[in-house]
Amino acid sequence: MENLATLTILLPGLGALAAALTYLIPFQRALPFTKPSLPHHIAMLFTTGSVLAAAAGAWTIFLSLQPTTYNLQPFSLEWFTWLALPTWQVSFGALIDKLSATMLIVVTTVSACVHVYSVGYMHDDPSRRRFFIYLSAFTLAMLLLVTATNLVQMFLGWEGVGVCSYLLIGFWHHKATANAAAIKAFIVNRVADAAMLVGLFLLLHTFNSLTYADIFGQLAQAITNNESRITNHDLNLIALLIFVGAMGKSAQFGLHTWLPDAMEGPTPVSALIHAATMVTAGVFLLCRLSPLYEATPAVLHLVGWVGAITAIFAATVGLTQRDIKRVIAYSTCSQLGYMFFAIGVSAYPAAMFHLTTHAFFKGLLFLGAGSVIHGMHHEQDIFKMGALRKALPITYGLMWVGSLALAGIPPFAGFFSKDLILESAYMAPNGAGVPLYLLGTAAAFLTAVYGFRIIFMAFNGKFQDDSKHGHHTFEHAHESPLTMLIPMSVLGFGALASGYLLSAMGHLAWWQGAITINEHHTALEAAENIPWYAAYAPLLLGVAGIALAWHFFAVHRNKAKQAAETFTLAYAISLNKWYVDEFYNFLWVRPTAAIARLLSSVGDKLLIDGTVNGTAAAAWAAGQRLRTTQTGLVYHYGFTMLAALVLGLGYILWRSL
Amino acid sequence: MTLPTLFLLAPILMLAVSCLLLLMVGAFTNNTRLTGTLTMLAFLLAACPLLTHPGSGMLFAAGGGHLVSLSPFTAMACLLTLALAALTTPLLFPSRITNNESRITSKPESFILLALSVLGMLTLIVASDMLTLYMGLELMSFPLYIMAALARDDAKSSEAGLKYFVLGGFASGLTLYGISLLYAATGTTSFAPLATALAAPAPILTVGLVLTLLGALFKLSMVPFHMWTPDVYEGAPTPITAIMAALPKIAAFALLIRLTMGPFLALAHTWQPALAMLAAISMLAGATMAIVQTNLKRLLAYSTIANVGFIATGVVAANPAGQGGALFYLAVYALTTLGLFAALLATGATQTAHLKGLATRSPLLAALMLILLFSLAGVPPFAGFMAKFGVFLAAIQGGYTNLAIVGVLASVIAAFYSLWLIKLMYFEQPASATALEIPAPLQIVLAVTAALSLILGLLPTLLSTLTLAAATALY
Amino acid sequence: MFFTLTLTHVLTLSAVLLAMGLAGIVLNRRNIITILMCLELILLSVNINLVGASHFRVDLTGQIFSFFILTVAAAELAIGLAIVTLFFRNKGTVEIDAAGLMKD
Repeated sequence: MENLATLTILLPGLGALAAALTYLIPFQRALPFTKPSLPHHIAMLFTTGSVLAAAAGAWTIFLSLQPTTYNLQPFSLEWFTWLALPTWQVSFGALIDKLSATMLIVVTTVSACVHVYSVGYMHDDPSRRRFFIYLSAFTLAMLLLVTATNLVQMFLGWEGVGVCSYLLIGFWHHKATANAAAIKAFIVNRVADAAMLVGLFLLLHTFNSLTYADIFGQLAQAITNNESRITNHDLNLIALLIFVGAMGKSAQFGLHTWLPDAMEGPTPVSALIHAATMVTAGVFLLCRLSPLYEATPAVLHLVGWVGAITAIFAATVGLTQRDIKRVIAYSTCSQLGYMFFAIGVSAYPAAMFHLTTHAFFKGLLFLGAGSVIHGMHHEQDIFKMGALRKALPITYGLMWVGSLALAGIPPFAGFFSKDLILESAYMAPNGAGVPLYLLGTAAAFLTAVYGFRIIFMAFNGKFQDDSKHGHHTFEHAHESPLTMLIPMSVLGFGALASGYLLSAMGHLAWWQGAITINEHHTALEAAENIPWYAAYAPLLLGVAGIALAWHFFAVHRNKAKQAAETFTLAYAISLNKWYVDEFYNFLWVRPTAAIARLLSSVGDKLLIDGTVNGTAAAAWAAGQRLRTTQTGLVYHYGFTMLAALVLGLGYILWRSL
Repeated sequence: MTLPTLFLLAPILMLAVSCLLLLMVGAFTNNTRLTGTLTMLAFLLAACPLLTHPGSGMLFAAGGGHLVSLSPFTAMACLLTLALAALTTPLLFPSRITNNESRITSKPESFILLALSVLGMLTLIVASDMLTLYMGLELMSFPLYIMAALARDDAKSSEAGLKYFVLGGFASGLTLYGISLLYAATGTTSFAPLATALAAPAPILTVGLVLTLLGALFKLSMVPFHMWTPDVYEGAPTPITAIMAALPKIAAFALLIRLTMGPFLALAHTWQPALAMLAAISMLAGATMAIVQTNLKRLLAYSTIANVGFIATGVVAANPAGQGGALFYLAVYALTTLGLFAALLATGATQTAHLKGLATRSPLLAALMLILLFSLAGVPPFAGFMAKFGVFLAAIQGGYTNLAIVGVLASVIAAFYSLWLIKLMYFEQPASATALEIPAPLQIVLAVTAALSLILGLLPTLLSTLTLAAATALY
Repeated sequence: MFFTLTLTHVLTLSAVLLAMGLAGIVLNRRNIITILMCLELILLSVNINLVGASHFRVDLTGQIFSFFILTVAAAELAIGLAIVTLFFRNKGTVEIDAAGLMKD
């Protein structure tokens, strides 16, 4: 099993490497009879094949960990020591427990689906080989992140996915918006990562180790012995800083601005990175560090609130966006909010459960959106769509599955996980979670509205773009090829059944110690005893939301317009995403630019350039003077040696006297 | 002495026999390719017993000690020397696309001289008696003198040979004089008895110690015994310069480490501060003088001087971490230097200005040079960074924090010329836009050195655990 | 016998020879051949040291060592003369000042 785990983690990397090696082979020169697309096909074969194999491996590991089947015990393995310092060392390896196994199947399954899907989606892109290499490299980084035994490897994977995400968002680098979005994603994440790095350094300083097992062991010991060495203050600060890092990756309110812009990348990228894997890394990390967060209830409280605010905020914004992918992006933001507020009430299993189901249905929604965009010749505005259900019947059906799962309608996957989160919040000790519950329930209603707004706007009613170009597009709208529909169907099955099949994930016992919950944090256990009205409210609101969406966006579209004109302010706030970007522009970007200009003129040019150039000039002058000693004459060289010898010896002997 | 003990010497004996055979092959076939291939094979073959049966022990009892002693440390140093020697042979190979300089050195005798010199290096590494030391030192040096003057019609080359010979002879004469003083004072030339005899300090011993170390310091081109380096590097044919820059440094440092930690351990209070001083001066002077150079080979010569200072930092630390770090640094330094000289050969550049716009003429070569230069500058995550990090850390542990600080300062200055060359390659317009074609042998050297510079930076423990283990068993 | 010969006398003699050799190299500004002779002089002083010490310490190592040095010195001189010949062919002179092409 150790070898299988190693192989599963490294396979995508090997695939990427093999695909990259095709660049070294001059196909056209060596094999002139082959088509120019041959290297692309080889690259696609290697990457897709290896990720499919990795998915098979991941499922084997995951199923083997179930007590009912093979009953494999969680284990960790060490590949090699990367850095050995006198005080501590860093090893690379893999920790296979329920938590990482769950992430393994999520990552590899969605990645495999996206790889296959991309074969169809990117079929006419001239540099698709590069795309597949990035995708596989991303998968490798993500797998290293989730299976890390220590925070150094985790951080390496964390940065790795960041880099791959940058490359993938900016894949169409001839588009200025894509470049800008890629840079924005990178910078926003960098801000968050800076906080996280400080957190990691503090962690290292406090525990003198960055290995999970060491940290948790010392933490448990410190708590039972009530040691003063590890103070609450330090722990709070560490937990907070790491949470800021997680907020950046998981696009939580305040650091979410990069996610909608990242939709500039090819759609399969959004499905893989911005729905199922990278953005969930923050949730995963907090679950992985559950012993730490259980020791810092104050931070946990903050996590819950940030999550709930994100959930409601993103849902309101999703209501009015026109770009189909942006709506889904805000939806992702909102659903990630759910996961964080589940963590906030110590319902880590619920968060991980939702992470898993969400990966399936959100991946499906993105791929469905991609299918629409593909069928509509890269049109992304839902106001320029409509009545597409005849042209894209399978996509339409699968979008229904995805949206029902998103809205939390039984028996679809989202129902099980989202309800568990809301129930846990409601039943959190001392009623601390009730406001979160209310925000979450309201968000659930909005979720149903915007989720079905996409479907009804794009697939039902009349076609809305009356221009000539629009008609042309509509007439040529076509269903996607099988390479795209099959992966969508796989995810569709997940969106349909994963909630029921994996419902055991909602219990702490299932995780076999991978997650630790303080015994006083009883929200999850109490969730079963929720009063009936609180249990059914989200479901009823979800159904109501769908009905409302039908009314406004399928039947009476002019009413929606009227509503927007009546509630101008609310509409404007939502449409402009609560002006967060503008606020940041005002608060950070412009002052930063101004300060930067000031610093560059005074600080940089005067002080720093002066110092650096001064030093360089001094070194240069010294070098020029020293070089004159090199006369080129042998007897001078000999004399220098002799003189140095005599002087040195004289000094040493004089000292020793 | 039984046969199994003699087996310990297998690498050296095999190489010695190979040298004789190569001489025959070279003389009778006059086939450069054949001689070259066989030389490379001889190096690799000699490395085999070190890999499979790295033994340790003493051989040839004489004068109260032994002439030769083998240990994990010598095995590691010999292995590095042989591996790098095998990697230098492609530089001497003839190729389809070739410039004048390669034609001069592409002769059977170059390979034979190289093999003889390497034989000397191995002898030097395993020496545990002044006699063996002397023989090894001279066997290493003589072929190098000849090789420096190999371009027979080039005034610069013969001048380089002359300077190297005269100053080298001068240095080894002084070393011998130091040895004779030690012998006169203690009555032995063997390391082990010397170690006990030197425990009682006396002025004559101090003089002997300093003079004896001078030979190694000269070969290392530590300031102020460095002055031959730029001239000889510039004058010698470039492939030869590459060999001179990479290989003898390993042997000389191995000798320095074994001398200082063996017979001269008792005099540590004398050599430690002195060596620290020389190391500091070397890295500062080397780095500052390198930045004003316009001749690439002279620039690399000064870079060598600076790097030798950094490596000596590990020796000054006088702890296994320092010696292991020094070995690691040596491997990294030799790889980087070898790669850079191969790049110079490939471009045919002699002046820094010739590198302008190299990125447009040959993106691959420029990228490989980029890796090598970053490694030379000590930029993470390349191997050079890990190497510097290791020796500075060891110096701090050994109580030489000041030296580590000077080292960091010097490495900032040293980074300047590397980055400057990168700027020339990437941000300047080339004088001619013709694409460069790189000869196949050079491609191999460049690819291997650049790849290792990257791999050893990412995974330093691949080598550093081995060097550290080697440094814990010096004799 | 005016005095007894001791090791100190031998060492002094060799030190004088060494000084002459060194001075010859450092101060000589003319001929390379002279430099080669001075190098031999240094080796000679070493040999005197070794043989003298060998005699007074009743230990054969020094004498054996000096044989090695004699042999190696011969080889060294052969190389040296070859290089000087080469130098002369290229420059037409054996003046040491002629070896100043490379500097700075």
